[in-house]
Amino acid sequence: MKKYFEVALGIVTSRGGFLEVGSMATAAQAGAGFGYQLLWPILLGTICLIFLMEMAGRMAAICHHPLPSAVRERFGFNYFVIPLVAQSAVDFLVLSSEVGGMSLGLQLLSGIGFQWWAVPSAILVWLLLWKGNFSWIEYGVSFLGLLTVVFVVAAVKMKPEWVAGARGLVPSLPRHDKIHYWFLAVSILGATISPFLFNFYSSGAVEDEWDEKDLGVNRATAGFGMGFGGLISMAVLVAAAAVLHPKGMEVEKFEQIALVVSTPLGRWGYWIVAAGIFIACLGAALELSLDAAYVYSQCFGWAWGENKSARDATRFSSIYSLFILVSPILLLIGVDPMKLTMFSMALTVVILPFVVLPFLVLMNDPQHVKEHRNGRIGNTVMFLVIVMAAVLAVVAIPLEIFGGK
Amino acid sequence: MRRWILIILALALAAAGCGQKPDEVVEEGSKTVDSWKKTLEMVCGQWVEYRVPTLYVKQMLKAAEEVLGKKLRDLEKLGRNEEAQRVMRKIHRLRYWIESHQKELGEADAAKRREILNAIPSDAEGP
Repeated sequence: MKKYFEVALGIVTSRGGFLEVGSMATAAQAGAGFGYQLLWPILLGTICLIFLMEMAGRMAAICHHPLPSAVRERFGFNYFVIPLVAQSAVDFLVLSSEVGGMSLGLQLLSGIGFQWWAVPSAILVWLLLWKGNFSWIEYGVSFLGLLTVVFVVAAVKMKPEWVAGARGLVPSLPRHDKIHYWFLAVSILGATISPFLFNFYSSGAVEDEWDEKDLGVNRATAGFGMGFGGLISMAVLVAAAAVLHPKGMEVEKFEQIALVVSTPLGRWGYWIVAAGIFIACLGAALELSLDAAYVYSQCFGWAWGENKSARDATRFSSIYSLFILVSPILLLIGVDPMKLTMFSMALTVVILPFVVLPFLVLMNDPQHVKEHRNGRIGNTVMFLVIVMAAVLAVVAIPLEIFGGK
Repeated sequence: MRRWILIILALALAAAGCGQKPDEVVEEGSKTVDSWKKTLEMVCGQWVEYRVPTLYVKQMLKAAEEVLGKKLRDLEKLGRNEEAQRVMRKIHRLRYWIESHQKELGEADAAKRREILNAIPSDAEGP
């Protein structure tokens, strides 16, 4: 019974970071612009993510090292500097986007412009990290984040075209706006296969003191948790495809996302989606801030852990405080949260090969994972992710320049 | 390494020099104004039925004004392009509707709400 409860908790919490401002914005834009045609990148990204998360959890359970720490140990500091710098830049941009998402959620709830909420949102993130502990943050925010299930209710209530939806799960060529289509496909993959998710997950597994006994829980959590997150992302796309696409409406502002829920569910749907956006982005902002602190602390060998007090892990706490401090700057100088989000998601893809390539080596190293090395299927998936990530990394920036709106 | 930096720089310069063609700017402007007109019709339609709060309508009007204002500036750069002028007129009509009704939203009763919705300019209107 306890195991089932652990798995259920794991599913809810691992979904926490999955659905955030990036996945909502990219899925809504894709649904409005291309109907159901871009469901396949969400499916593809979710499958890849399930494998990567399972591996990150397995490594943490076996060698009690989270991913960044293991990469640093195996490849040395000189190699680790590359992903460290790249990931810091992406973490900053994505964290800014999440603070933007929280602010937009509060704007939808209050009517007061999002710029006014940027600093209070960042302070809230910092306070929760400073005062809270890992479980409290993980479970509290993730349970409240279940409000985003409202997208699934909205999608079902809109009576979508299931056959067209099923066809959308298979990759197909666009009939119009080719460059924008591919830009969205890359951004969806960037929003789905976010390196911060598996860094956070493996560090969390070490904080929760996982060992070999937890491998089953890990497998179920990665599979069902990410599957659940993918399902909600797909629901955002399906609802947007059913509400906005038939009328030729594009999503250019984040505020438009509320329409995909208010149309089928009315006023209460509006309030729930506004609160859901705020909570989902808060959850992701907490995970991103912690991720930045984990990566730096594990790189330089500092004391780390959200369960440690700020006094016991001073540099760890300073890193997340610094990231949170600078996160509202872009919003305060007038950068549009939607544009910032779309840019960050495309950029996330660029750093993927640097993170996944050493991961492949580690998952085949008996010193790290003992007899729990990757099988043929795991290695094939990882190899495909690396090839795909390398191609996407090359095309992401040109697509951003020519295909971003 | 230097060769790669040069290639990346050349690509970045090429990208920077490749502005949108006038036709593309007009097409994009036209799509945007049509999309926002439909968005505002949908939002106001739901507002008339008390399905969304007034504060949401205010936010959407503001968002539309921002996006349309940016498109207008892009189109103005094309000078006396006839198609661009046509799209600009559509934007002006929609922005005029937004400006005229923005302040009345707070106190609007059911009848006033319907009146505001019906006043959204249709494509056929105007010169």
